[in-house]
Amino acid sequence: MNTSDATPGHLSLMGILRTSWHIWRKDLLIELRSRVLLNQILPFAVLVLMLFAFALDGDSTTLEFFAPGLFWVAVLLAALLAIGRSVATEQADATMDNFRLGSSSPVAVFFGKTLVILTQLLVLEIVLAVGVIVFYGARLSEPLLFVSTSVVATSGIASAGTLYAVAISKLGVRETLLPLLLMPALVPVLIGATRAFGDALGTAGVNGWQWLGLLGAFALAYLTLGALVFGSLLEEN
Amino acid sequence: MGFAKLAFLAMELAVSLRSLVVLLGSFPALSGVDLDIQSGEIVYVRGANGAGKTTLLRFCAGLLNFYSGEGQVLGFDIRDANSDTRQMWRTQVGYLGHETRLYPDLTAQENLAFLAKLCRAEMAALQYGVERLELSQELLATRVGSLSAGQRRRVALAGVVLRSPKLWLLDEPHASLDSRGRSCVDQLIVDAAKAGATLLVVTHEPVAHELLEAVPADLSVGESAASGSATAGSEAAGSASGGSAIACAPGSSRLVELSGGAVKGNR
Repeated sequence: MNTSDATPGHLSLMGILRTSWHIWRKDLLIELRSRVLLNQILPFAVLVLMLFAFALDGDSTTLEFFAPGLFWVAVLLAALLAIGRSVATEQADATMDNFRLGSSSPVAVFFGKTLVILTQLLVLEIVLAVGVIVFYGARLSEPLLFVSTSVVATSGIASAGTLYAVAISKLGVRETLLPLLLMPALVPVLIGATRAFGDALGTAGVNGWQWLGLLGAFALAYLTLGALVFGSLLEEN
Repeated sequence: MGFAKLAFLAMELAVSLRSLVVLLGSFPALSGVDLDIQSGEIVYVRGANGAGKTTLLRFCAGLLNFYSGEGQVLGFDIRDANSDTRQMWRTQVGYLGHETRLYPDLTAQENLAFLAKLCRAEMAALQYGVERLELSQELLATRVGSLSAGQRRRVALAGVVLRSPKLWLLDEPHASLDSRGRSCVDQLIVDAAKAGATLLVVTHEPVAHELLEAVPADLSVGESAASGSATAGSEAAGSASGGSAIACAPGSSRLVELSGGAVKGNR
């Protein structure tokens, strides 16, 4: 029996990293095969950007000014779909039980699922960034702040999203409940990322790096919370 | 096997539950279950729909909490809420439920490889599971979503085998399988028990007589099985639950009936 004497997975940092990697690789393989992100979520996010442009009458000055906020609203809406999809992948055939029956740590599962959503949203944000430059005429004045904000803010969205989605995953109304619970929780990200992007795109006279600090604190808080409570959330009753 | 070893096995209970009550929401899915399963024994569980068979298996897998009762599974006290203990318990269990727990967009091989990594199983164990369930290379290279229900079931069973579990919990393992697949599963069950594993198998199928080889011919099962239990051995080994306990050899088997959330046919 090769697993009988296995020590609990969370005792080993390498074990956590290895399992997170396996989950990340598995989910991306599923995405490559199903192409849900590519064929559905990505077009939806681009469509949202275009709808904003239509709603604001295509006024380039207005669009450029509001580009940071519109960008992050589009990201949040698309994130809801990506997060819902990520958890649904584990529920179609009770595959979540594999994590509970395995010797892997719940922390590794949380980080793995968070990393998957982070990766998908970063890909989506690259496309959306091109979109705001093309459709809204936005100009990049601080690329480093732009990239840093994307990574840190998206880490917060992914970690909070994974936590909320798994917490409500056993409820029958999870599809409608997720936006209701997650959106208010992500308001700090929306505000912080919009301000930081405003600085990065030169449309707001604020110190974007300070807002980046707020986003970092948010992401760190949810990553820590997730690591602490994810094991309990995975349990059935 | 020497007598001393046999006597030791007779005393070693893989599962021992007393007055177990498991609630699903506020519904008592199991109400006052008493059950003893000795190491190396095969216990077939039968019962009407909603009798609590799946709940019993999921509890024994460490996947469900309980409301009241006491006992142990594989030596782990069920009252021990420590997450490390629970995880150690789970890693020694192989559970096949109604669901296959496979990803439809991955091939059978990719699914099994992922499961092996999650439970840190060796590749040799994976290969053994593939061979035992007679999974061809073509089948392994096919996406699970494209497989038939029976093929998916066999892949899922290979996922249980690769864990090399001490306690097998199989919920209707014959479901969707053809006659060859059923024979394959029956042999797998017997071989696992002979190798020392304990098996709790939920089935609606008539259990083949050869699988209950040591069962007395007049053993009645089902509703009238309240006092019936059968093992390959024949030596009394003391009382385990107020009733009679019978020594058993690895591979011995018996039938119990689950009715109204309680087990009939326990020793």
